[in-house]
Amino acid sequence: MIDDLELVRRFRSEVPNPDGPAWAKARTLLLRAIDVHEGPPQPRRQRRWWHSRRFLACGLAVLIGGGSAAAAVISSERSQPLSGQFPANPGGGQSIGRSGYTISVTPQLQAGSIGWCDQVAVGGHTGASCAGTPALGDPIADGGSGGFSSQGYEYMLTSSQVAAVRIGSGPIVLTRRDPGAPAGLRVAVIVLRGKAFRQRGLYPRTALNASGHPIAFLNSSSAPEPTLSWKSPMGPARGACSLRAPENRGLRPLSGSVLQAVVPDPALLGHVFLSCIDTAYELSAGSPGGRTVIVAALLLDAKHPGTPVAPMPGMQRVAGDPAVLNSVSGLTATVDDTSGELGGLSARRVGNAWLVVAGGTTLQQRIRVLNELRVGSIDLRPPTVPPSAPAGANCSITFRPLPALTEVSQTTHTANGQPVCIQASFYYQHRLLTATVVAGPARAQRPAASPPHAVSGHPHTFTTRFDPTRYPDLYTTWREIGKTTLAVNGGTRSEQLTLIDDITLHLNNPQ
Amino acid sequence: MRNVFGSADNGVVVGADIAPVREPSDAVLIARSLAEPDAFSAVFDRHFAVIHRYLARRVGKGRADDLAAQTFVVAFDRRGTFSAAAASARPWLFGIATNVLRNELRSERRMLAAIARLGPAGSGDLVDEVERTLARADAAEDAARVAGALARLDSDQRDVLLLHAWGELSNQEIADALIIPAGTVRSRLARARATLQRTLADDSVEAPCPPREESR
Repeated sequence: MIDDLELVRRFRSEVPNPDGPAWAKARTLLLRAIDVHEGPPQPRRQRRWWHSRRFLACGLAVLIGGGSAAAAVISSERSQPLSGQFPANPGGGQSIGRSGYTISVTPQLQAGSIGWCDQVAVGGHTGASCAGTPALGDPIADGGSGGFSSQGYEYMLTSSQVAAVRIGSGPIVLTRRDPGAPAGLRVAVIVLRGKAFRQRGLYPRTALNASGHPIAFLNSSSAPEPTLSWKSPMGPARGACSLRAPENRGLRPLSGSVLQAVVPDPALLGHVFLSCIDTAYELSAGSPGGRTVIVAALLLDAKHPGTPVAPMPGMQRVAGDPAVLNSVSGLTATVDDTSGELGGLSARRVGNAWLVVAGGTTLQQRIRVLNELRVGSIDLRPPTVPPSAPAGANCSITFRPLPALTEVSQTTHTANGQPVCIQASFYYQHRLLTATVVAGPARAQRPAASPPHAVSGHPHTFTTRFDPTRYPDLYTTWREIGKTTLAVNGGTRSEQLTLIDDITLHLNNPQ
Repeated sequence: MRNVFGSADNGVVVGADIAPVREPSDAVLIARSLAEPDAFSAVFDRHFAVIHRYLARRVGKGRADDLAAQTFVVAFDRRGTFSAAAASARPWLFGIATNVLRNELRSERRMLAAIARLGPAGSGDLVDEVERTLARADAAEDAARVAGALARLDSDQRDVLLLHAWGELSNQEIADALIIPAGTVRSRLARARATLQRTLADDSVEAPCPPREESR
């Protein structure tokens, strides 16, 4: 029996996705149509419009007139710096040009965190938050935005490969290096006006390379680093790093968290820090006027822990104490009672790490804490005991060792109202893959995507693709094992299949 | 979701996005584009690649560039006809693309005939270098057989079959896209597959029927 549909599906299946010029030309034609639009269209449901002469005439006129004018129609502009003045508002009206703006980028301090915080100041107003960092899965990390309702800015951190960022179908921002940006990363700061500013964040960003072509999406993300948290009166948790405050020196540990093990993240781009430990201290002496909290953290190189850390962005040496760097801005989201805006941030190198303190009311307080804290040895060894399923879990998995395969964690939880029997995270090559086991029929677990295809040569195994328009390489592969489904996400399709073949599922309490 | 630690008074907005913003559905974007035409460009961003690829498979990349652009210009003009109840604009866009394509029936048939007749190593004005490269990627014999079989289908059956096989649309979505009853989709698909089966079952690779003018 000939599988006619399969033959048809394979026929001319190697047709590539549209290239940049085709995309730009089509968008140009659409934008022209939008520009000439007047008033909302009226439905003409019954008319077979594609036969109308008017349509044909308009379509031809647009095509002839379109030509190769894409570059002239799609505007691009160079990124503004992280600190500066807003350009004059050509449309008049409310302008924030006179007040200027400052975006200060500082590292995240919470143990296990990899990413950046930003503190923004516009016209005497400040705000801050923390976000991620560019990685193979997404070379653009959303930053902050600020300004008045009529005008403001939006900024992003990008990898060095990103020459420009296209926002929706609108402007293209050429990225730039900036002394305030983390090492190896670029910034895109764009001034937006009116509706564009009010709708910021609404449209997807596309990373463009130096040729103006979209940078391919890689199916990759970062695994959560395994941490232990604690809170006074508990003592500090023991993990891969330690900080010790001498007794009777007025530093009382309040809370903190620490990595159980240091797991490198090979998917990161640029020079990024991994916080190994964070501890909040209460300054009980020398802090007039009530409680003063300072958060200390130890930062390692996230891709290659144990190697020298990159320079700290946007900090200046302290006069008279050149080993200490300081920034007037600093924000950290740490454990519950100390999250928020913490004012200044100071740091000094300790071996191949940064010891960073944030908060307090003065630079002198931070320098004092920097000098008094003692950093213990850092345990960079991989976990001696591989992650195992939590006690009482109904499922667990084991796998055969493969080159470049590292298991990160095994957890149980509930997703979409259904208990996940076990979920394990792996680094394979430089990508994160997650294997999830759920009970019940496979059909109920299938993601909403294109129809599944059986994988030939692999019984009971299927693969499907998510929205191919946005994510051309995003697949899920799963295998039906009795009444359970083992699904693998992340990585490439072949990596997913390799992992599925490599995993053995154990049902501890079969129903 | 936005997480703003900073002040938001006196008309000043200071903050930062720390989580992905949930993107609006196609229906929301298209409805919004009735008052704010710019919003339609997000629909373009979302669906252009898949529409272009579908058209490229049918008539070749060169023609697909123009036809895909034309599809979205028409879609923008006709956005008032989009049903807000539809979960995705994709079937609607495929329908427009199919209608735009009908002016290219001869091109498609010539291309299929060329692939079937000449095979992947063939040459000719109708098969440019890109097409030859693509044809080489396909199994030579299968490509010729499928091209010949597709060329034998009438255009209505071919539309339904390829929207199903390449567009990955369900029967109901095809019905919505072509504005025909779902039962008609089923019958056309069944007839198309029966014709395909008969043609493909013949081991000998034969030239397709000469292109015929199709009356509509």
